[in-house]
Amino acid sequence: MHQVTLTIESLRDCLAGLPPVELKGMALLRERRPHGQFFPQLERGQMSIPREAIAEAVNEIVGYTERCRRAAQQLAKLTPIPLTAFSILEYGI
Amino acid sequence: MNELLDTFGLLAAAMLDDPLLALANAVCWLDPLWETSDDDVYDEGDGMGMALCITRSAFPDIYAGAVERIRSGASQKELDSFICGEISQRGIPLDNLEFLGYGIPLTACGIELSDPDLYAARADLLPVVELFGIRPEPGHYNVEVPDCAYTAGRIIADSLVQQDDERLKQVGWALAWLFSCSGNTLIDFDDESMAEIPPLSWDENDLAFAVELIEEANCIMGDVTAGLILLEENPTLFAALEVNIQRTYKALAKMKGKNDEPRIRLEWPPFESGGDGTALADPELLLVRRDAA
Repeated sequence: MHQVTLTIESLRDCLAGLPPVELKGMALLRERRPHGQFFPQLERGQMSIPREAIAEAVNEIVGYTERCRRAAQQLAKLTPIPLTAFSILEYGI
Repeated sequence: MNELLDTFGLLAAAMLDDPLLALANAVCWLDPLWETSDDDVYDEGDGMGMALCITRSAFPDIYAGAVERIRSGASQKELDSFICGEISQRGIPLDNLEFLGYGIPLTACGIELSDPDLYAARADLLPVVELFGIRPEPGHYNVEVPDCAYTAGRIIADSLVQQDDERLKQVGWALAWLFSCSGNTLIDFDDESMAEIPPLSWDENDLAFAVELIEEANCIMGDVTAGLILLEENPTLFAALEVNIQRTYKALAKMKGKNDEPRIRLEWPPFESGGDGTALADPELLLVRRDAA
């Protein structure tokens, strides 16, 4: 049987090779962050950024947070899977 | 500017160049409650926290605005006013954040005909309810409502609402409100009945339903007020209502408790066609008014 070998380095490289997430809020922050401040501020009690854009960005971040939370929960509950055609050298028994 | 003096700017820009730090910054900016659960703030009785958690999922732009105001040092009162005002603009009237955690606040407009307090507050209803045999007597804890009043009220309201003339429809909605048969829960339920049903949650479907319910109830209550005024001002219409109530009561009496609905042909006085349902110069009715005077 063909054996596939995975090392901790190749696993790390695989994960590190994933493209970084780019959310609308990050783009908005880059575009609108005023000099000398962390975040865009209210101007005369109003946000200078259109409400629709803010709502979309918040929705996306809230959704992303929720997906991450669920993924973490699922990973925490993973049951052991016997790998017969796959060996991770560092954890070989 | 010397680069050393602009360390803050350099660091802030560098943070946004790094994907992970940029994500952390965006979360801090737009979603600082990312780790807070509804249960936490509910258990702590934190009204503002609850309002923020609710707006986070139901009204993300209001949530962002509220967070921005907190960051700018807005007072609790200013924040309360901002959130209430914004949610009210979305069709959910809200005076304070106190009850937000119990679901979508809904105001019942319905009445209970057997409650004597109703007639103390709304003496204008007395002439209409008297036509149905409802006569509140002073000192009584309960007003007697004839068994068939609700059935008759519903039959007559249905007949009026099906008329082409907007003004007759308005009178129909007035009767539908009186006899709790409009089909809109806010119109048909009083506060007591409303308290017995589970509140609507702040999820997307319930929210859309609540907005529709409130909007419809507001329209109906507008028609109820107009219908009651029409009845008060038009003796011909009032007389026609009286005749039709008696006709319906007789038909119901003949049914002798059978469950079937009686088939009654109710007749309503014609209005001059005007189309928009607002007060019109109606020669027939004006003539009657002059006669009545």
